[in-house]
Amino acid sequence: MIHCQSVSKSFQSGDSKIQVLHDVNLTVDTGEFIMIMGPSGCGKTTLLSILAGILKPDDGICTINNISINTIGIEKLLEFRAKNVGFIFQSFNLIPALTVIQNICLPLLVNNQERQIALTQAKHILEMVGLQGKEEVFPQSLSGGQQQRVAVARALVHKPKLLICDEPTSALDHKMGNTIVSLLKELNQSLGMTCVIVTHDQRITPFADRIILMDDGKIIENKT
Amino acid sequence: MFLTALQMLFGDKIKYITMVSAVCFSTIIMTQQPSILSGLLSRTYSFVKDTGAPNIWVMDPGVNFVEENKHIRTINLNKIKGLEGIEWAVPMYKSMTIAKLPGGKTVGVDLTGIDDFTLIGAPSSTTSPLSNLKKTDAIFVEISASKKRLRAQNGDGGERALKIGDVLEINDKRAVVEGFFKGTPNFILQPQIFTLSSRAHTYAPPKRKGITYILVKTKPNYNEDSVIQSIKKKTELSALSTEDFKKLNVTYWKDNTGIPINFGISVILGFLVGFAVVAQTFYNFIHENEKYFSVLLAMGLRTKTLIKMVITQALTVGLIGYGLGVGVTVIFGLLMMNNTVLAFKFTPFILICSLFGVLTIISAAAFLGIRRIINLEPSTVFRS
Repeated sequence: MIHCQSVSKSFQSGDSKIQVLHDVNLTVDTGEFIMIMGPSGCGKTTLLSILAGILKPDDGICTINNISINTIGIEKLLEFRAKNVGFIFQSFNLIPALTVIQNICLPLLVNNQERQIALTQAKHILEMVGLQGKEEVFPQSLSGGQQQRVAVARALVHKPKLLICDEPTSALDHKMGNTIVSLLKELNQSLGMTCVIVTHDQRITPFADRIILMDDGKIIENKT
Repeated sequence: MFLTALQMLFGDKIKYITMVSAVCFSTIIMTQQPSILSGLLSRTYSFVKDTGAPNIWVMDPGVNFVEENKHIRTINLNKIKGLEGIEWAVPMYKSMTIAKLPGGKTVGVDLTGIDDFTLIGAPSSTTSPLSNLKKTDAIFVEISASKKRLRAQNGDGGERALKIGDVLEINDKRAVVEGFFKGTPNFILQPQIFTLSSRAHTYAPPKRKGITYILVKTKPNYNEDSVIQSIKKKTELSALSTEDFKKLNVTYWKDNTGIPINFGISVILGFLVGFAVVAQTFYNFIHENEKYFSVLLAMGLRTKTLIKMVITQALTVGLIGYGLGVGVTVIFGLLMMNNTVLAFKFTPFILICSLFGVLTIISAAAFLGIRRIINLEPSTVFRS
């Protein structure tokens, strides 16, 4: 599914250049449920951005489903992301002006799906995450756990091959965090998608097929 | 995605209402003030417009506006009548004088004397037959003035509108109300009274010169400009087409009063306030939605589509605000025109200019928003 070889990435900060990733090698198989962990500033999010196809590496090769992120044109990359990648964020990032169902429809609309069909599919996925009846509710009126379920539904509605999660449990209490990750795990197994989670939360590690530990821009441990 | 853009816009109710209100406010100022100005300026030539029959007006070369009443010699009428291409030429006498109303109140009036024989130059909309003007001491009074400035006083101290048969005194001469006419209010707002030219001379005696205007109609198939040139050559007077005389009136008042500048300042202020509020609020709206726009970019939405969404939002705000503003101005105009003396003339030109003003405001707002969108990176979605 994902193959990264000697990936490096740096950012310009004023006159200095900050090297965020050093020579990272990583392979993720299709259907795998992996977690990337490490201290703040170790490069987890940068790696996640590269794996999601929203950031290009400076050096090295990164292929997702045999598509090279380094060389693919912008239009193809956008199309690739729209069809193949789902996102879950730490702070949910649900659009407050849109209802739950309208938020869930977004990836389908980005893929030019007809609105009526998108609404039907969104309702179906909303049932899967246990929020039937909340279609017309605005995100602010939901609890944190419910909002993250909506975010999960939004990430999965277009049936992506790769699910990218950035700290999906950090805004939730332990119980709700476990519920969300077990939901993700369940969907990972039933839908067969690959799931990459960046987290600090040690309590959810038992769900992972594999844990990748990073420090100072490098993978220091890769344990199953 | 355009519906989503609109849902995002309408969902942020406070900003949406603020922006629409600001555009609406600007539109009201940019349409209502010029409409009042346009109405006021159109009053400068209302007498010329109401006197529909002639297509050429002959007057003293020093006349700047229709109520200036500079008189010319009567002999010029015969000179003009003798020229080729003239279908008819009739005298008109105008004078500002004082009328004493029943009950003793005195009011300044704009007295017009029309040709005794043809009655050309009389107002078109009258309550009694025009021939009533030929009755002894007959005058026709403008109907709205008869109910306001020319109200008669009753014996008990109360007031009433003038009625047929009421007797006024103009320059110690008897003047009997024999009819009313509907006239467009003029710029100087003097009540208008019509009578025969010969009678007007007795009310406000001319000195040596007995005509204020000579109203001329050219024969069909004769060139108006060449007739004007021949009148000028023959009489050394000023001769203007009706349209040019209207323009002369507008130009005089426009150039010699600060009215257009004052209205212009109001319009500019309205535009600037709308500009500032809309641009600032729209910029904040885009800024606050940036993280959601980043999410959409991460999902694979093209920046081009995002820009179109922002333009859709700006256009929606602009057009709704503009529509509301124009609606308010139209309602204001309808109310004012029927019930007050306020001048109001809403023209397509004002509509187009104000639309241009609103489009400038929302273009600037959209530009500010697009500038932020263009620099947006999808990778910012992971910043908590």
